Amino acid sequence: MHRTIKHRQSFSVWSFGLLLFAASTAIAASPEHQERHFSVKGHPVVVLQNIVNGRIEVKSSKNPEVVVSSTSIADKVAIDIEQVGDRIDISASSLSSSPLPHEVEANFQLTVPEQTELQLKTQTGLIYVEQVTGDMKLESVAGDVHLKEVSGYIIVKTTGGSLVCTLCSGKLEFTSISGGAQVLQPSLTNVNLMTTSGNILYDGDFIRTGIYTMRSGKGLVEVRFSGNDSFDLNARTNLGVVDNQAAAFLKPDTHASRHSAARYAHSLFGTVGQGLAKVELSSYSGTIRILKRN
Amino acid sequence: MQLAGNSQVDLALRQNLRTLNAFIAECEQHLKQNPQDELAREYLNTAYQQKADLLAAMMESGRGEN
Repeated sequence: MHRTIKHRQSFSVWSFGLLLFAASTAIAASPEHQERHFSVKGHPVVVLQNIVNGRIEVKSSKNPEVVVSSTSIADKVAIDIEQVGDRIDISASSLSSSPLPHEVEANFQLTVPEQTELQLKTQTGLIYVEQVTGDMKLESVAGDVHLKEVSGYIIVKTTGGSLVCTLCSGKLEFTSISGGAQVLQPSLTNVNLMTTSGNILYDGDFIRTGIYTMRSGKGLVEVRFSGNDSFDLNARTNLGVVDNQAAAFLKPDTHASRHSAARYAHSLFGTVGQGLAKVELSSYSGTIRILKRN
Repeated sequence: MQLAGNSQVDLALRQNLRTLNAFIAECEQHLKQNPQDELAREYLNTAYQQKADLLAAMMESGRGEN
């Protein structure tokens, strides 16, 4: 009897200790939220280097200020923010060698004026930019990049992350090893997409005088154009196939004197409309698909 | 300054290095048989450049492939 009571007491002490430990761990590891406001005069430049994991979300407002909201675990991640004139420099780096990804994570939410230049870099986690006009360079290792209604000279570089660009305008450059790219309803005058093994989808109009280059080493390159488009098409692949589902709309290329189609196992040259834009598609061993939208 | 050193990034870097190595080997093999293939040469050059960039990023973050 006495022994049972002692055992129970010991169990209670252990339980209490465990609860206390769990509670203290939870408190120590709970994320901390910060928000800072920076007044700007002209078109600001925001540079964010997230050397840890985490998501970066950028939206615009009419206010002449940059608002930086961040969430991270205070003793695991150091966040430095500096304003020099209209430039805001933000960096997040790890203070910990913890192998737990969530412990070395910093998530950012930025609100910027509509006309803002961006340079954003993260390891993993989504980069999301919406309704911002200005040149931007966005880099990620494994995170995806989603852009909506952005305009400017847009450079996206990923190792494995994919790009989804919806209603983008201006110029777009995308390079990746295994990430894919989807460009939807664009108004882009210059497009250069390159991936080694990802897929590429371009679904939208080709602006007259625009130049569009899309290359994938092993992936699918698919272009969906509209009946009003006007472009010269040059599609070539070494070991893949050209799947032309728009033969009725493609005339023989009237501007061409230079094609040496015989050099490529599978190639297609043609003109839609007057051939005002230039579209170059290539793949080493993937499929190139051309089709007209309904 | 320390880096995250997390498995998700390590895994992505290593997987992409393997993707590039396999693609480079494929292009080189093809070019041995078709040395005049300009498109294959363009892809090989781009893959070499990507590999150089990737290795630099791995070195910078202390994630060499052992």
